[in-house]
Amino acid sequence: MTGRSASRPYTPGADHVLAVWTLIVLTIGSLGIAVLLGLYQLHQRELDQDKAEIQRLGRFLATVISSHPAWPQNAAAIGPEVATLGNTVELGLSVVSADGRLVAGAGIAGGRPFSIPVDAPEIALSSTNGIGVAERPDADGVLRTHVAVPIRKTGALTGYVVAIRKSPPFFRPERGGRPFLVYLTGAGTLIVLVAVRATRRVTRHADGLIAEIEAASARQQASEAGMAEAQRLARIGSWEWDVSTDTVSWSNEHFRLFGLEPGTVTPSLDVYLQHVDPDDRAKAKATLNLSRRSGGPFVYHQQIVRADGVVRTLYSRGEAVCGADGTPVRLRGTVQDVTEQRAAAEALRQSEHRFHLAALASSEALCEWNIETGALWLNESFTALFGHSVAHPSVEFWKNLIHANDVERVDRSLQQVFASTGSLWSEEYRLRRADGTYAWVFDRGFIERDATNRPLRMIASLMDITHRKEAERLKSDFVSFVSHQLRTPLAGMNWMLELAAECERLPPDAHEYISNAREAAARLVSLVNDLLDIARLEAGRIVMTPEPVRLADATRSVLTELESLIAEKGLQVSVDADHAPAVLADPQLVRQVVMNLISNAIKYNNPGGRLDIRIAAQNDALEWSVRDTGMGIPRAAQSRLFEKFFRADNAVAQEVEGTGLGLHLVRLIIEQAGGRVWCESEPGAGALFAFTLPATQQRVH
Amino acid sequence: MTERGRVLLIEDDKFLRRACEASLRQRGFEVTSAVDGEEGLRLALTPPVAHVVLLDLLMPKLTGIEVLRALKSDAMTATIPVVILSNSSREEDKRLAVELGAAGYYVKSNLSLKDLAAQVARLVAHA
Repeated sequence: MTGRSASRPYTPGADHVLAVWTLIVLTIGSLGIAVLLGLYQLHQRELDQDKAEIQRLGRFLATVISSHPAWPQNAAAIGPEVATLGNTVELGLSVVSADGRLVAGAGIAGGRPFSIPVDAPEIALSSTNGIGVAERPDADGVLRTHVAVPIRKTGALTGYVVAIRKSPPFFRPERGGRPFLVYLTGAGTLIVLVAVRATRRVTRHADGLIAEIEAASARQQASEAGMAEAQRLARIGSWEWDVSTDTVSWSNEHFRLFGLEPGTVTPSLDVYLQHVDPDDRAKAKATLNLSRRSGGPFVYHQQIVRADGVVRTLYSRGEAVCGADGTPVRLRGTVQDVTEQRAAAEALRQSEHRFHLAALASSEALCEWNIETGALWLNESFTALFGHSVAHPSVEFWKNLIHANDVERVDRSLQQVFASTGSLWSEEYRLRRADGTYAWVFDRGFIERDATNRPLRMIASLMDITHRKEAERLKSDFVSFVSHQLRTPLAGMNWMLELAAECERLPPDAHEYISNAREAAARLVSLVNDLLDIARLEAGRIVMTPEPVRLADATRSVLTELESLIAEKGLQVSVDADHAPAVLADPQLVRQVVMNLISNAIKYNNPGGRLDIRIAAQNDALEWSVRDTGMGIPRAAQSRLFEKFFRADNAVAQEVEGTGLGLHLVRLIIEQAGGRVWCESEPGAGALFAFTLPATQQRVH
Repeated sequence: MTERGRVLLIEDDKFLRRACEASLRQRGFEVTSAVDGEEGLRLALTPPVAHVVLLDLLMPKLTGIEVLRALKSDAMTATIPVVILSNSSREEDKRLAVELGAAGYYVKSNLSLKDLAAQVARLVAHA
């Protein structure tokens, strides 16, 4: 029946559908395989990267452990930290010592508490090149990746971290077999590779970021520590004021500069201003507010009162930081303690100012000589005094002005003082003025030396002493005038009176008058002698020729000479001079001192009194003293006793003859010889006169 | 009074010269006087030579120091003791005189005629 065939018509559509379905199934199947293969490839890559990741984390953990203070001496103490670390990175962790002992372990692996693999030490020790990777089944038979990383401390191997990756592989192919479908699934592979490349790039990028962050964090830590140290050393504090939130932050040193422990107060503008000295407070506030409004930088000094009450000077500088709209959002700045610098600068400024005024006001010429370069600086008085005006004078210029007869002496004494350690030099010499005449100058210099004692420069003042020299010359002329013109007639009087006294045919009265005249003449002679001695001593014209002198000998010689006077007054004399060493002095002058003091002790003594002389060693000196039992010296007179022409009232009242020159002469001689002279007296109970002279070990000639 | 020795006195001051002459003659010395250095030196070099020369320092024509040098450099007079009678108590003057060979140095106003005569007598005795 054709009808059946008609009723079962050929339906090419059914074939088509089958073909379509077959194609669909095939396509889906191959796509599925491709996806599976891709996932497998992806997973393999993931596994590799996971290993790398574990290794990287392992290295990080190894670094953390190696920097732990307890590692490796007290390895057990790091247990809790290892646990925390393991939980944080979601790795199972074992820590193995260098000699293969398991010292700690913790963490989570695969979402379950991790049990330490018993073979962790073995994995660690079998690792090559310090890093080992092994796949071992765990207690549940699951294959896990173990990564061993060495822990190095200052280069030495101190142990291992064995890390176990967190999850078991979700797919694992047969060993040795490679799915053949790989050839059919190129597209899938391609997709996978692209995905892997992308992942890798992301990972690499992440790695770079991590390294960068780590490095930056290390840099920042180092720089923060360095900054804090630098601030402490420089005594500089820093601060920042967020204007919008009105919050202020201070560096630790900022706190300390204000006498505060870091963090003990909450910094604010008010806290700062409270510490500023009231005189500077308005200025500080105005300066900061101006910068806050204008956005400009600022610099100012202020005095602060620290928390402990100490007043310091701080130097502030800073700037405003502006936001996008150009208005200041923050102020930041530094404060520096400049108390000492300010004080030193102020002192220096004042001293320079003072020196400038002094140099202007000084009638003395001032000179600074740079000994190394030979350059001189001269003040205006130098020009005013000597007429020279030179732009850049040198030491040669100065030496050329010195009189030919003086230059050698000046040069020699300069060389001497430079070769010594002395810092003071002085010399008198003639200096040529611009008009060719010579001025006498007294040049006094102070020498500055370096640590090795080398002279660097000399500051000197030159005083024009021409007038003084002239006066000295006149005085010296007067001295020779007095010695010749007064002594000649004096000698004539003396000798004539002596001849007259020898005349036998004179009436008795005349003899007495002549005797009186001779006494007066003798006083005149001693007055002239004393005046001449004093004039010469004061002018420094008596040349001391020190030699060892025994004071006891000088004393006995004087006593012998004054024998008749002592006998006349009926005085008892004692000399206590045992074992006294010699003194270094001019014998003539020392004898004069002893003479003057003993004569006084006789002259002012009561008849029948005592005269006790004592010579005793006192450290490096010899003390000579004479005590009388006379009228004594009024207290008011004691301090003036050694002045020229001074005589005590009671001495004058008692008509004891004297010129007021003897004790002055004594003082001049003793002081020039480096000694000291004084008197002690109770009025009415006698007086003691004493002097010291430097002792010497040299023998008396 | 016997002659005890010849003294040459060189002194420009009239009163001093007279006093000195009188004192020494009273004590038996033969005294010749000169009023300045030049005359003094001439007399000193004219025999018979003096036993002792008394010499002032500050004088017209020739100073005492110049006379002293001349006396000490002449063989005839070099050994005659010369006593300086000066007005100066300066150490330097005394030292110079002694260096040039003076036998004594006195400041006139500090010296008595008696002591001078005694010194002259001593020097004559040693001569």
